[in-house]
Amino acid sequence: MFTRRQMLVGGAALGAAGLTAPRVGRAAEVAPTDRKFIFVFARGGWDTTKVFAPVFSSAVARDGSEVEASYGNLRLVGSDRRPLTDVFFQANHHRLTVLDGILIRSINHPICRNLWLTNSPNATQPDWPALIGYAAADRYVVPHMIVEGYSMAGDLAAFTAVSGQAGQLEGLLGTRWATNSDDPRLPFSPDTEEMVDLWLASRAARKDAQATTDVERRLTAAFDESASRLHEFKVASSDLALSGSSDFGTQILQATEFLSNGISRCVTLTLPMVWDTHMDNSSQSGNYEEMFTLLMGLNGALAHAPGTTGTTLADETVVVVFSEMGRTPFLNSSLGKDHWMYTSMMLWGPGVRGDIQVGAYDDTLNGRSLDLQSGEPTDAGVPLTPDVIGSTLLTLAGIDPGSILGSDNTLRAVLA
Amino acid sequence: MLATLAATAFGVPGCQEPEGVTKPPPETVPTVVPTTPPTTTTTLGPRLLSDDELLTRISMDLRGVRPTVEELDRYAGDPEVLDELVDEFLHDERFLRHLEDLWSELFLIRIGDYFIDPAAYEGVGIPKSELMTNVSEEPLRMLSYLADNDLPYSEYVLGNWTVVPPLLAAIWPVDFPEGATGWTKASYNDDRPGVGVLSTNGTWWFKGSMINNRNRGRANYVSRIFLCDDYLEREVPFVPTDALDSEAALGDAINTNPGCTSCHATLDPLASHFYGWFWDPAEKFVPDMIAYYHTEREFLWRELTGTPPGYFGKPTGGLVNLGTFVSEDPRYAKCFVKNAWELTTRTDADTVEVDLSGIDQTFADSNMNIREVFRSIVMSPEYQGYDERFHRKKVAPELLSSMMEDLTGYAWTLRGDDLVNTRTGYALLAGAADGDYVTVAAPTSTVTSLLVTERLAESSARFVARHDADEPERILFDDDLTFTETTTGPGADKIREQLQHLYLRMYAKRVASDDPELEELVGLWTEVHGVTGDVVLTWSVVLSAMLRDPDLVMY
Repeated sequence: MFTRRQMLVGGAALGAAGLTAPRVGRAAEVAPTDRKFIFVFARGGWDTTKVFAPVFSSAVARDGSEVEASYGNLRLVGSDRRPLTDVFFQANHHRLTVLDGILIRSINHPICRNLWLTNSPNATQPDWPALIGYAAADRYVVPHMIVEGYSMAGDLAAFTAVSGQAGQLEGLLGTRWATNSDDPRLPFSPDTEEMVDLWLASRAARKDAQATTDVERRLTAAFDESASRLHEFKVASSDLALSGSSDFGTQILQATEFLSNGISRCVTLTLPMVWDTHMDNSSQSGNYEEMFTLLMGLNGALAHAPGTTGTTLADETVVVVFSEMGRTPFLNSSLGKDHWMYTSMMLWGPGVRGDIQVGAYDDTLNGRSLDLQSGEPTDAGVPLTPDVIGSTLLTLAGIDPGSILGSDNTLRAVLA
Repeated sequence: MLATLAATAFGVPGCQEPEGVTKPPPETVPTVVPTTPPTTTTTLGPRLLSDDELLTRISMDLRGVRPTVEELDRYAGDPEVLDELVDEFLHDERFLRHLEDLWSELFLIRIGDYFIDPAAYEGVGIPKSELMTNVSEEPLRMLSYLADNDLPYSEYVLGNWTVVPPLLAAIWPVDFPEGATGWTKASYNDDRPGVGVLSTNGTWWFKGSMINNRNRGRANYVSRIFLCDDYLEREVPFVPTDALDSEAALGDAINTNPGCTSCHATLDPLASHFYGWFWDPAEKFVPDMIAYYHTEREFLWRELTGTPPGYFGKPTGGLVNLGTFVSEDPRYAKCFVKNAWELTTRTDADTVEVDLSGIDQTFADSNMNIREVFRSIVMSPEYQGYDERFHRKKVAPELLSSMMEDLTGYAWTLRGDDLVNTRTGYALLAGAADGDYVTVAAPTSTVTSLLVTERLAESSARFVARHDADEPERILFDDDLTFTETTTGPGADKIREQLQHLYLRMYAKRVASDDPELEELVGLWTEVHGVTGDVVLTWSVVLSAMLRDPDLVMY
């Protein structure tokens, strides 16, 4: 069931999806360091066999409607039960990279999530969006904005913000916070608030300079950085049209506000569907239909939102759609599917080669090794692992992966 | 400050590497500045904290509030007085509330998502927010009951009792003393084994289990909180298995694949204790199903895993004996000490190598007395500022709330719930972890944590300035202030004296009347008054600035 807002955004996008000309050429003109990113998370582990993995062996449980479907060079799974999924790929395959057979190495939600986002099982490491945002911290007030989703910022916490699921950030930036209380108090006027902010900035800078130990320096530096950014954010937020809801349509609108207004370089969104289908796996099909409708909405919104370096956000924003794990090829006794250590992802936008599918599954839905240069499956290659994903995303963002990961395992085949 | 440092190698996540399995080649991970202080053990040096700063730290970490001016004057560096004050703090009611706050970060029970549906009791007139505000406190109140009554920590998993308020007593199967009010000791009467917090509705309503998980999440919850052994932090070699072609094969792998058995060999027997709280998804909404323990389900493990209840290689005979096994595990006591240290110092005891054996011994010698652990912590030289690795820390969200309320009398709540520490409020923005979207609390200030602090400071300052200007019994301001003085008119000295008083009360700092920091505040006062023309409002604004100061947000 869609909300009215989702339908409106999705409806606009359906038109845009069919009408928007391929943007690969223009989009590639945006310098890597100017690229923005939207991370869209399908939380819970999607069933790759429904769309991404055209494996039709006896090992894979399928409903009778599923067939192999081709969209340009993409070989996917189609079904007459998922017409909107078909519309999405018909309209967008030319700009999509699909990655198959990603080895996450775990089947535990938190560990998979941490691995996917950081290449580490440890949640104290900064994740890809935090790192990409931080690389442009001099140009963005809040380099990574988590509209909804996981936050793993490590010591980059001063450069990442969580907006809250019920409009908390919007409420605190405006005046709603003052009345949203059992004992409401009037907010101060903007001019007195400005005076206090400036006084506090001065205090923070001095405390930072006076720190005597490593621990104190770390704390005061983060305070100083955060206080400075908060002041800028409050000033900039007066031009933002934020709203307090976590439905995906609202998430999209918030994302475009943050990106178009140059507040953030990275935004994280989370799809509203329940993907963790241990019981009754048939809901995966509906999830995909809804997801691709929402992604068309996202594309439509990006195509109509002004960019900061390109004409529109679509020219300068890389969209990354992922799920932390896949699901087993077979059904369990509850007609559901349990966790699987291989998954798929999609990305598109400036710098991303379109109409390409990299990686593959074998007949038992295990991921195949591949050659990082060509992207071709080969037994002599390496597994498609989170460090490869991370390297590739960092490269797309104009960051040397070696400086962060120690080595550069960029999947060159997906770069335009 | 935030430059990228050297990468580190890691294995593959999951469980420990069994013998004979080849470790995969090391891979690299991004490492920015460590989220914990330097790992090298440092020699104790000169104390980095002044007497006033030390008392502030102890007061905050035992009571969640700043010391009063009287307490600061009383201490004045006298070690015997410090002993007295620490004892008073440990017997302060606020110590118990603070203890609950700290352990809520381990249980994650206040702001995490519940397995049961909180709306289940709306049909009998109990709103879900009111229900969950009470349910989430049950395990925490049990702990503070132990501390308050000097009972051994082993009782936490052995006692055949709980602590509940009348609201829960009315809907749960408990023997509740007639006429009792407030949180009261009571006992479940539905034949559940009495193993303390391991047999409470609050714990298992929060930490549920789907049938495919087979209580493993619950087993890890117990292992993480009580043994400091989080299976999710173990490392496991990935062993490709192309034979995983059915649910049965997957189940077999758990018992035969070395990568799987390294965890499941101990996790699954622990998980088999909790089937008495195993609910079908449809039952999550039904009060009669979730309120009661189901003895008839205790043996579901026979068909779901085939693994009988056990404790790290030893059969237990069921939940009734689990508390004994847990409490006699040496890790149980050590884990309490480790948790208390980490939550108090806001450091990772594994990363910041620190010798806790002295505190372990104190805990053992005191028959697992909770107060004695905290006394031992705050009296240790590392804690007291002789070790620079523990020099400063950020105020945690729950402390921000209690500290502000103590200073100003203002409670920032909505429908009675603390706005800073609830997920529907600003907990995640304030830097808390919910165990779901955020699993690690922000170790430093963030843009949003400072925004939350700012709004709380504004309301608090507004409240207390108005209150103290109008009421004869003042909360924060000194009695000498009449709220008519200005910096440019008569009584300018009173402004300065008042700021000195606030410095001492809020920051535990004694500043001279001509101190440059005070001059800056006087300047701010004058500037704000020039705009507002209102003395009480000016004090509100200046006080809000002081409430956002680094000296208050870090200690």
